[in-house]
Amino acid sequence: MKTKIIILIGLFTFTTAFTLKMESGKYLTKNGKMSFFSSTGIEDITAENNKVSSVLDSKTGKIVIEVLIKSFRFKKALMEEHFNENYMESTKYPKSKFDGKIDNLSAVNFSKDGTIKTTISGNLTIKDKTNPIKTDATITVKGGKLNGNTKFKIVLADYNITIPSVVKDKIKKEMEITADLDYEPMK
Amino acid sequence: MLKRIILFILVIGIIASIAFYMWNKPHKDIAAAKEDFILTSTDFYKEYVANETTANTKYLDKVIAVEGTISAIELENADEPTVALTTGTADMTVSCGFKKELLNEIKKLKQNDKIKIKGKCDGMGMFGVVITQCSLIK
Repeated sequence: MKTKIIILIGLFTFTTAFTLKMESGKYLTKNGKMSFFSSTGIEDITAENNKVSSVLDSKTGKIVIEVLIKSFRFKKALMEEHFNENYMESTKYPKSKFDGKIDNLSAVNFSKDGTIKTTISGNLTIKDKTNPIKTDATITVKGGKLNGNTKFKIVLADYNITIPSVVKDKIKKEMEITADLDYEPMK
Repeated sequence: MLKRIILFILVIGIIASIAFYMWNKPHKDIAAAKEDFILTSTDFYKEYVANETTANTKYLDKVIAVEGTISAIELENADEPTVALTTGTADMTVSCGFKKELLNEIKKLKQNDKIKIKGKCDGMGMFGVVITQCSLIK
């Protein structure tokens, strides 16, 4: 009897440990989308990045997003050049990072299909500057996968992005950033 | 006098067309460009892990021809079909982003295929080295 109980407990512990290991609760994307938009007197500035990587931990609510600046594509080659060389200095600062969390994690049920509006907050690093940000976000759960969507504005000066005085009046001091990330469960 | 006016118009015309060309100048055609470096995906990744800053100085914006084995074909982002190459380190790859026009070519590829890809180096992200504007080298 005693041995049976011990075996049972042992089996139980083993399976629990095994299940826990299987379900890391982490989701990832390697090919997420991010774009930005700013209107000028001459024409709109938009660029798209399809290689955004991110890990979202459903157990802690932690989100890390990393963007390679050189993966942003512009319609105009000249704009892309100016963006990389003058504004972002992307050879010196090749990536930007968001390190934060889902604010009301308990409201998100990761095992049930549905859409939840929440806020996320954390630190955004662009170039050599890090600032706290808080933004609205939508998390959609569908068939075990996640989509995270957010749109927010940043003030260029907060991140040491200086605009040459020649075009100062043409370029807005703010920029709107949109992220659209399709996450898959991490194996 | 007339000569001067004609000359003036000509000069303005030339400046305007140069400015117009600069403004609309085409993107560098990576597929047609000669590669600056030829290396295997494993060596490429190893160099980045050894020293990211040094690797960036050497490779950023350069045209790289990478040889490797396909670890995954990632089509979830329809705007940039991606082929990931193995690096010898689990979960880490050399991720190669293609234009969406090349989707049909990418779909013909299979996991474990040996392949050679040319692209522009964008740096190292969370899951390895990233090259974009890729094309297949036959």
